[in-house]
Amino acid sequence: MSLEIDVALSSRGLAARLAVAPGETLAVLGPNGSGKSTLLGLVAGTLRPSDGTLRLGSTTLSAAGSRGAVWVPPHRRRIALLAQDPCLFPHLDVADNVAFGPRSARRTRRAARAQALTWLDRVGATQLAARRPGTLSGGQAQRVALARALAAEPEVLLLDEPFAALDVDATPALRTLLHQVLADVTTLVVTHDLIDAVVLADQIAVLDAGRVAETGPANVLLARPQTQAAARAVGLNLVTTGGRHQAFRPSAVRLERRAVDGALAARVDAIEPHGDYVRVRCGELLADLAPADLGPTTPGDQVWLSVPPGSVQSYPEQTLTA
Amino acid sequence: MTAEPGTALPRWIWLPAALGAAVVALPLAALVGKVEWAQFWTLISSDSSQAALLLSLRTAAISTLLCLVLGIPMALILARRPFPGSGLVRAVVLLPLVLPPVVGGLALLHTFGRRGLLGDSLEVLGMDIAFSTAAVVLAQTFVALPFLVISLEGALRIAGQRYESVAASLGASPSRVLWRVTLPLALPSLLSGTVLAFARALGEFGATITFAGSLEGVTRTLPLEIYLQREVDPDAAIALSLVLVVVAAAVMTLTHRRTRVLR
Repeated sequence: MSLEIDVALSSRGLAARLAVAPGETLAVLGPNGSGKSTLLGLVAGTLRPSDGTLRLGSTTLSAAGSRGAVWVPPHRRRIALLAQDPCLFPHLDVADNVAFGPRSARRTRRAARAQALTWLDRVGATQLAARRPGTLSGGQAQRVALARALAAEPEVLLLDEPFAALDVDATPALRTLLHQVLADVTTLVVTHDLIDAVVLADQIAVLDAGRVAETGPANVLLARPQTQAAARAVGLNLVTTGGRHQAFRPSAVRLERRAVDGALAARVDAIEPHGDYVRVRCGELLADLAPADLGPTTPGDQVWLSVPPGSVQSYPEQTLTA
Repeated sequence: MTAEPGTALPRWIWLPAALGAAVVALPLAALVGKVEWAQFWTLISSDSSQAALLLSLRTAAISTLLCLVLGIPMALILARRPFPGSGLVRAVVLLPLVLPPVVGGLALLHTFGRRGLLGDSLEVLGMDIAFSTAAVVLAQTFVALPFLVISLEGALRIAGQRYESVAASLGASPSRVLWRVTLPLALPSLLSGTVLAFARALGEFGATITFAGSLEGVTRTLPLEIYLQREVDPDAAIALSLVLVVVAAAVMTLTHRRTRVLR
């Protein structure tokens, strides 16, 4: 079923309008504090919007304001949440955890168990059925939590930074698994990790300071962002001149100490570690440099930035219908 | 449990700690030392002793049940749905913890007694609570309830609502969340709160004698019996005291073990 979000929560400064088509996965990207968690809370029903409507298919889940208030409580929304903390019920074994949703839907004990085992099989965790959550590794627990969420047969699955708490080894396998099982589940994934969006998302929305800065098909938005917020979210530099955008990766940027032809004069604002690189921040522009290429640099230094022409994507500016 | 290396305590701290332990342990040892073991069984199996013991166990059990039925919802609301004035409600409900029981008894008498606040209405309904077994239960519930509320509320606050949110998103109704998630997760503190409430009810004296009186077989619980026998037959009083100590210690140990297993 499709999910149509048009909600606001004034106390948290959020006003967002988004739609997820049936069976599609929408990734919401944005820095911390951009309103991602608030958005999830509003959709899941743990927060009440101060205005707007939320619709699942033809059902209105919540409507505020003058149109007559509607409020469907969280347990009747058929929207399951998978958070970064798996939150498996510690007093139930793995199979009973997964059977919790079916049991809540008044399935018989036997039917619920059968359903639980089916889903445990789908996520490759059958052998964990009799274990207690406390004995599982982080990756195992998150697999079980995924099976539990899907066994509830939700119309929409919400993922809240599902890999943030996992160790690096467990993440790729789980991401692949998610990609498989989410193929035809309507999913809203909130993340600050770009790779989640790359692997899972059909559509991407970028949230910035409580507003949707940009939405679009994942492959378009990842390559040709139209706004600074989206460029930042997908890890690109964006320079706009004369109705055209120039997008380029921070690692393509060269940094010189002296004025060079065609280079842009800039001042260093901050220097921070970024994986194997050192990230130099000059206003809106980022440059990722190998530590050996940077040399002694301090914030405030005058530098010149250039990009090889072959590393720049150039495309026309579009007026966004947001 | 072994002490972690490097977390040294100053040595002098053992002295006040040992003194504190002695303050509690010495009187108990003295009590045990005074027991007339040869007549122990005869002393505790007299008709009046038996009646008092049975009455105590019965009323304390009913009071504990009442504490659970009334205290769990109270703890849930105080922890999860604070309302304007809930702080005041909490303070009032916890007041019996620090109130002299005899004052509680007086308060109960002036509420449920024949001339009390609700006395007339109750009399119309054919109920005369004061100086009945019901009064014993009421007095015990009055003093024991805060023990259950305070331990459960604290545990609910610490546990937070993450599990409840997840359960609701899986389609569990609020009642199902309560029975299947909230209460099972709070079970250790619920058990210890129940034990504390039961022990407090079992030992209740001041409010009972004020509000319920001391009628053999009706309102004379074990602590009251011990207090009376102290004048008449000190040996019997000591023997009965030991029974109370043993019951209290047994309940305490049992739950302590059970709580540890659950954690």
